[in-house]
Amino acid sequence: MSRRALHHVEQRRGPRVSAGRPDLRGRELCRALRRALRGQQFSAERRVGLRGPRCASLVRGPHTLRETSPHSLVPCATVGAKFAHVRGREHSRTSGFGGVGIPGGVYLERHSLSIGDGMAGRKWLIWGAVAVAVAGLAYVVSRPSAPAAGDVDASAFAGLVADGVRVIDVRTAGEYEGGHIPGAENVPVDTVPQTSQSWDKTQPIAVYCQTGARSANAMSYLTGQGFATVYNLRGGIVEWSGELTRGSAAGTAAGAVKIATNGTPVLIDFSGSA
Amino acid sequence: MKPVVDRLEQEFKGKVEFRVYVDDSGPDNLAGTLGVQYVPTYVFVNTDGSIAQQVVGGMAEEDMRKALEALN
Repeated sequence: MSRRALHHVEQRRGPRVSAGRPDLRGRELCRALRRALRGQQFSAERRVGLRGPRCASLVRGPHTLRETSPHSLVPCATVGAKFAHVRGREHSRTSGFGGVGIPGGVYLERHSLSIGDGMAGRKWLIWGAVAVAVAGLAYVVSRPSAPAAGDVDASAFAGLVADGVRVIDVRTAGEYEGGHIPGAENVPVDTVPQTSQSWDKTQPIAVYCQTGARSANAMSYLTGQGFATVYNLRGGIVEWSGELTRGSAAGTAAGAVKIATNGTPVLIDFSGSA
Repeated sequence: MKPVVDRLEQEFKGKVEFRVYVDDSGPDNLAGTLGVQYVPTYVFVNTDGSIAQQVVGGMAEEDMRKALEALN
């Protein structure tokens, strides 16, 4: 007979919970019992106890399982304590509680007790990780579809051109005339520092060159000067698969400039002579 | 080129304003805006302010006269 034999009551009644742990002892057993008996209806005064070398009683409310000496079993029963017989599967057919009838007693098969609290801390960890993952996914999904400033591939660059972003060809005039992206302005890369001083820094700018090298320099220069959004065509115009326009610039940066005149045409002499 | 420019200035007095660029280095300097890198550079500007032509290097007098006459 198991050491934990108790008085037998009402064998049919008893909670069945999932995930058994046959090795539970002591405090862990108490915790498991708490969980197992959670669904049971107890009045405030009733206690649950289990008999064994260490007895414990469960109080509904804040679920405390209290040690009770085996000798106080009967006195506890008279004040309404509820008893649970915890036993292994091999003893499931034997009568518990020593044959004494105790009203409301339940059987808990050890192997059917759920562990519960072992996972309590980890449960929060798992939920926390899930929440972080969901938040991260939501952030990624909700990001605006415009490409991040920096190197972009040819198809994204084509999207930028279609959006009307200002396109700057930083190659030499000769290369520009040989074929450039329609609508691009020609600002040779060595003139970018001077020319860009008059540009609007909040406006997005897309630069490209033959292979992406010079325009990468231009992009890093412009970004360093405080330009908010600068795109570079990765791989240069070599990667461009759209149309190219030939001929000299109709829309060079200089062409867009307006000179203040006094009602007559002007010849500005940059010869440096006073 | 200076004698040529002076001569043409006399010729087009009242019709075309001849400005000599003064170095105004700063964020909005004209040379930077126009992308002027070499000397001499001549920038021909129409009355409405748009740039008709930008020529780098010396020009023959005849070419310069033609360019000035083409300005409106």
